[in-house]
Amino acid sequence: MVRSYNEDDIIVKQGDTNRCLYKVVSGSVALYLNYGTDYEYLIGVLSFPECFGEMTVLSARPCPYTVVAFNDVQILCIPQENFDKFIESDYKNAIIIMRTMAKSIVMMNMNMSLLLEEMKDLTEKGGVSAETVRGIAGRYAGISEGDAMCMEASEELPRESHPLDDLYLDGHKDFSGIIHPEYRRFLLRSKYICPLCLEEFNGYRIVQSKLSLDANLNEQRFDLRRIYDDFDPMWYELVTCPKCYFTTFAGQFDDKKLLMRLNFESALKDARRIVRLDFDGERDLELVFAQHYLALMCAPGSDSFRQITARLWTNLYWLYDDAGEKELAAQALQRAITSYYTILDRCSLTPQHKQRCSMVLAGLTYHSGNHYGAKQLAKELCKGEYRALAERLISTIEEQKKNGDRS
Amino acid sequence: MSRVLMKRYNDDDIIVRQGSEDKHLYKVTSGKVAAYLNHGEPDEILIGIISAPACFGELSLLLGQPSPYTYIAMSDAAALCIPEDKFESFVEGNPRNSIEIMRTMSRQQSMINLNMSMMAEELMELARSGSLDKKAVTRLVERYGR
Repeated sequence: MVRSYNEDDIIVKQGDTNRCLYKVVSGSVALYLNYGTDYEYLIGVLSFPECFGEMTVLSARPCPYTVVAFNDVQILCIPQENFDKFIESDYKNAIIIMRTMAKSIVMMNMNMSLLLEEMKDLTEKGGVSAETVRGIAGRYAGISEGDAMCMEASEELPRESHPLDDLYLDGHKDFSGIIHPEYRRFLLRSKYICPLCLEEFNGYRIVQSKLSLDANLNEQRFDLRRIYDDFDPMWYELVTCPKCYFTTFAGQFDDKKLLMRLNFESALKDARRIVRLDFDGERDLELVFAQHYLALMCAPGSDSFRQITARLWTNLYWLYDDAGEKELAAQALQRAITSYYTILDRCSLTPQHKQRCSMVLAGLTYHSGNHYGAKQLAKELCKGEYRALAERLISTIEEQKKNGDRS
Repeated sequence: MSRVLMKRYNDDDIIVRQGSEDKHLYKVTSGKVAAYLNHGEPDEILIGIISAPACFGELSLLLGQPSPYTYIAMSDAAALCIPEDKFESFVEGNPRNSIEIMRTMSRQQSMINLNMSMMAEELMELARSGSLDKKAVTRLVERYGR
């Protein structure tokens, strides 16, 4: 579809998410960073047969610049679903897009070095004001309105509007102030490198040597945490990069493959803009909750996305249950159960891993009140590695049934 | 006459060295290829792992830039190696592949974008707290400067 624009008409705005590729048919367009703000910066002019907006189609990123008609122009607009056909119809289009992208990659890399050069010069002369830095950085990096507001706001950032709101279960309240029990003697300080932003930082790792897997058997409460984890490590199980807030399980943190997938990047940016989390101080329950929700956000970056998601919901169920939030615990429990069924259905698992998943699922099913389902799952496990736990689960259920019948 | 060749590599074979002007596009067809910055140096960084059907070498081919990374076969790998003068006919005959190349490039762009905005964020943070000095900038150069 060809559209016509007059001089100064805005064709695409920075941050737009409509997934369309545009090709200039006649006339010229100008690409601006931070158009209409104090930090406006012209980054290029395109004319026939050049294209723009390819990143919205290829990697679902919002448009990084505003495109304005430089004179009277005609633009061919190719929606995402027709992109493949467009490339197939004339291979020259593909080459044009690739050349534009190659140039922009080189330009972006150069800008990084230029910005650093400029900072070097400035600091050599002495003190630098935040305002100067903002002006210079604005010329190189797209600054969204949110960033600008955030910069003007005081150091203390408001907590009311939570960027994780859409992700948090409805009804989640702030649990800050609840102090966790001491887990220190089970912790080792450990160095991590963020796979996303390459930041190096210190965090905690859990010592997992002699803590036994079946300690749970002798406990009154049948909560199965220890099937997955050698002791109750939910307070320290997740690692968050203090710089970009990328979060995942400690064991997964060095998975470099993550670099290849960035679909959670803008969500993290929103999170960083509004919440300030303190990973150095004493952990409170709310921080642990926030880490779990951040990890859910980042899970799609991993190959074991489904397993990670299931574990996170299971943890969230336990956490809400510990906090006495029965309603929220029930919601998280349902999500955990669904996730485990998805794993058993769709993932190719080793027999050992399959048994582990089924055992956790049996435990979760028991907690959801479906004793019959839990018993069926447990029966199948009575020959395997988790025999002792499975049998104990069955006897617990039968005992409860007897007691229930009596009363 | 240059031709499109299928090349096979063994584990740890160097395919392209950082800084070399190798004007070929490589399309991985099997196995995995690791991209390293400063391979073999103390500050070596694993940038990413490329597996089929992704490509590499497109910047060198399209703009004649020296290769930004060293590419190493991680297992027994095979790649289609396309010389500069066969690139147009390759794209013409393989539209699917060209979309894959574009996707790789797009990911690369978003990676740089992310780094850029984080660096800007960090700079502003430093300036606000009054600790933006020469030392701080040197640290940033180490981290972000390529």
